[in-house]
Amino acid sequence: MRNWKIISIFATKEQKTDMPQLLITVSDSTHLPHLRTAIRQLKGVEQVAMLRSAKKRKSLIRQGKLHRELQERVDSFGQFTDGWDGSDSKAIEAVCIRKFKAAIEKTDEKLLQGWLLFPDAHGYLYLDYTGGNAVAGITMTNDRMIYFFKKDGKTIKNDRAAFTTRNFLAILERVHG
Amino acid sequence: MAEQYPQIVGEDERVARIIFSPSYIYNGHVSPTAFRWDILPSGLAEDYISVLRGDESSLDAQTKHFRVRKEGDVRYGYALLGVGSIRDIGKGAIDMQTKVDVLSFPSKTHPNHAGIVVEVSNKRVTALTPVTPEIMMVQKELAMRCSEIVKF
Repeated sequence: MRNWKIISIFATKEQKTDMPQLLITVSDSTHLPHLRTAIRQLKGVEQVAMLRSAKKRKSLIRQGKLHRELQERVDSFGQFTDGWDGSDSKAIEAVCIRKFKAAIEKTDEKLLQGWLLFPDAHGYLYLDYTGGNAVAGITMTNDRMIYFFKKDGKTIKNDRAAFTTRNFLAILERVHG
Repeated sequence: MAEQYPQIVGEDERVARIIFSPSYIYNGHVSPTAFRWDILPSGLAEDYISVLRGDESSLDAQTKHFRVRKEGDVRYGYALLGVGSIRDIGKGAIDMQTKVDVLSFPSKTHPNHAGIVVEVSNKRVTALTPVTPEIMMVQKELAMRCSEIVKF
């Protein structure tokens, strides 16, 4: 039997079907057919695919403890009802929660470091960041994001960014970049 | 007779904002959204962020009747902020158009009641003002300037 080694294994989700996915990186692609055969024989495996292109490799997203914490926390906010923080406070909007969950699903673990999620009594979500040389805040509504970040003495602010995964990732990358 | 407080809130005083858990505190951090403008049950939109002045040892007793706002939440405690530190936010920490002050708003039941007043571009922020980056920045500054979080 040839010598080969697994470089990394991490869990993610298939983008179209949302099914759990395991991504395995090996030292030598010539070993992939053997690995594929072995994995196909395992119970519960629906599909085995090999990613070869650089473009597809870039799409790999590491998920871990921060993802789990944020998912659990946002789910708990989904239980809030009107009046959760005084008579004028509103339940957190379901569309906002769904969009946030979809966005962090596509966000690498390292970009989530330093961010804390809080509810906002307007029915929004608020993502708060305090890092070494930066502070930031993102208010997420059903359709837009209102945000600021202060970094290296410079302030960026926007009150009309569409709440899309792409825009969400762009903000996090700028704060961490 | 209820204790009297000077009408002008002193620069070296500290004020307390009541914090509910787990909504507004997480991993030892106070949420900027904890500093919010309420609409009172009467329908009046507050134009200040409500805080309490004075003897911190009496805050627990004073706020015992405050209703817990959501099932699962507890009256966690309070965050303390220096009045001078709050006023400094309005001295260019955000921009030159954002002003922050602490004013006395005594009531019969709470003679030590005060409010953090914010003006953005000469307009006083109220509970009806839409969220803007400038308001979020003030809230963030307030959260960062909590000198102490005291549990009840």
